[in-house]
Amino acid sequence: MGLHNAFAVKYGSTVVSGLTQLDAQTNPNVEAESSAGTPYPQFAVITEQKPRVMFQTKQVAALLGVTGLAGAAIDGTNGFTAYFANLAASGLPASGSVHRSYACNRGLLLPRRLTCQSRGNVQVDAEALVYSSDGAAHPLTIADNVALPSVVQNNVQHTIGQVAIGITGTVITIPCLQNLSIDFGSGAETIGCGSDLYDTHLQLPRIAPIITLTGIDAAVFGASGVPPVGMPLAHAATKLFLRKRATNGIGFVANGTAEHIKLTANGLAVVTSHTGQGTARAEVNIQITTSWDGTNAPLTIDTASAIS
Amino acid sequence: MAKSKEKTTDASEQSPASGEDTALAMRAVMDITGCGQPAAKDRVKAMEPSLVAKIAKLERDDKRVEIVTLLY
Repeated sequence: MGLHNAFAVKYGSTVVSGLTQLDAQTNPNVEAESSAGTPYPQFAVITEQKPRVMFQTKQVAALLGVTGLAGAAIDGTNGFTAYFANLAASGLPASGSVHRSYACNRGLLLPRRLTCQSRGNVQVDAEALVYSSDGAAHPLTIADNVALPSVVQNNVQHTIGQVAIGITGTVITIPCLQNLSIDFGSGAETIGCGSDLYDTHLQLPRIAPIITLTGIDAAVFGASGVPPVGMPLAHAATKLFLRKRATNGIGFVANGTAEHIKLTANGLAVVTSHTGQGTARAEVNIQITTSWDGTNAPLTIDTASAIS
Repeated sequence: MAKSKEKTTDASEQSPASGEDTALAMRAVMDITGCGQPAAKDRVKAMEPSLVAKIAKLERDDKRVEIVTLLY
């Protein structure tokens, strides 16, 4: 009998804990076609499997430090492993090398989405896309005799900080922000050849992050904010800080200490809606569509920045 | 002007990469390519120390465009 709890993931030697979800998928495509003679399928077949490991974590600095925007290659040097803890009768993880792991050494670990509400903690949805060495070997290796990694204490958390958008000379500070989300916009996918069951290659045709800011100050929309026609943004003037909480839970790390997360973006901003529901405060939604400025990635990530 | 630039480059090539230069070069690589720290570290580690110093100097001088031409 093996009862397990989701535990942690590891990339290279970096353990990412603080998970709120861990999902190892085989992601098969199973076909069962009916043909003339009987309504019942006469043949069920697995035509492909695209295994992946998806997880959510609040250890955002650790994860984004590893992946950046574009993702981190999973290879023989930096493998990826997802751990499920085998539970003892006490309900706690059993001792010893009795735990389940899903390991792979070919693929890409990438961030999918970052979300945070005001006063909440930043969370990132991430995914390990994995592929096979030869199309026949399963990309995920299952083991039931592994030791659990040492878990990093989940007390490194960030929340919404100062956000300013614009270009040099025209900067708008976004007050009273309620929600911040980033779709990292990775088009990464694994691809297979010659009807092999498992993919053997990976392609990354597009990385197009989109940032959505939701606030309740209508001043950000209009003459003194983002005009209806939209506004251009540049890295130098578009800074989104994710403020690190003090690890003892009292307040925040000082702004001048380089432990906050700083995101900069290039692209354009447009207000998509000013929406009120019932008697609640109406919200203004700003969508930032990022683009390459010829030099920097559309969204830069610094996980050890001061707030300035 | 060109002569002075050339002189600076020569000076950079003679200096080994310091920890600060490595950190600056890593920052530039991460921002330009969008990669994470491990990939940036590997890339900078594989560079000649003179190139690391050159990138660090360009980063200090806020000349990212010139770094791009060195990276690609």
